[in-house]
Amino acid sequence: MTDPKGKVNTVTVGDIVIATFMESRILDETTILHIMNELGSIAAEPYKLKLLVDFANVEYLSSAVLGKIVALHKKITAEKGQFKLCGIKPAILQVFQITKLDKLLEIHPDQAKALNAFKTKKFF
Amino acid sequence: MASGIGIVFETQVPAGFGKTVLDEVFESSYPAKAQMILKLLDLLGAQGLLPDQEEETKMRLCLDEVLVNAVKHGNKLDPTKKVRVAVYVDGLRWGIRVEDEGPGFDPSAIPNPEDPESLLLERGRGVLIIKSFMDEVHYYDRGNRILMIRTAQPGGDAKKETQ
Repeated sequence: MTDPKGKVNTVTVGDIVIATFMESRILDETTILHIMNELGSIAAEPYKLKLLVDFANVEYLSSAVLGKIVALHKKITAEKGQFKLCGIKPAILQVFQITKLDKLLEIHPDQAKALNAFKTKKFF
Repeated sequence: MASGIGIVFETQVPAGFGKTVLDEVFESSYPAKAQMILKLLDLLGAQGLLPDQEEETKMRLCLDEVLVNAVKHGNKLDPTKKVRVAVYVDGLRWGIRVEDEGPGFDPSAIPNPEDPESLLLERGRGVLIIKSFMDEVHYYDRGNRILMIRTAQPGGDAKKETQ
């Protein structure tokens, strides 16, 4: 249960990596560190990486996590990759809206819509 | 000096109110901070001040941000430095005073979310979150002391939107 490797579950659909947070509370510093290490290893080769991060299980999220997500966004987009988020619960979505990160980051209601957005872009 | 999001340090110490239900100091470490948050959530929950999940989520986030600021940015995780926490309750209105021994902060260094360049910064959002979810936020001294106040309400900010 406390296995740090179990905090992010990843599956690959075509050329898109879907990373789902398994932790409901991403507040304490150790959890944040583990999660970001796991995401960091996915984005170790960010060139044209297509990464979708699913927040459906997340109940709490601190501003420290927002900073890490921004860093990830910068790294992936700088390497011509695509970075999208989905499944963010209303109270947490408000945090993204307050900080205007909803304007910077591409946020979709669920995995299906986010995956569709990757596909739409692909065939443009 | 005011920040892009309108933070001004007050020169007078804002008064407490109602009944003081907690007044404690804890050491500047993450485990001590985590324990204090659980204690505060228990305390507020027992008084009916976290009426639903949304309100609890928002208040937990604000408590975490304010205590991280004190422990990490204020006292630089120096365990010899203490954080003082006091909680006031008057009916559904409650407040938390947090004081650290750090150097304070520069309000003009807090990113303004209206500024597109600030969007890419990796820090500085905690203060904005607190300001948005609490009803009143008072910074005083050199910014190392804060009193934030909330009137508990189901549905988070529903009351604000209808006023």
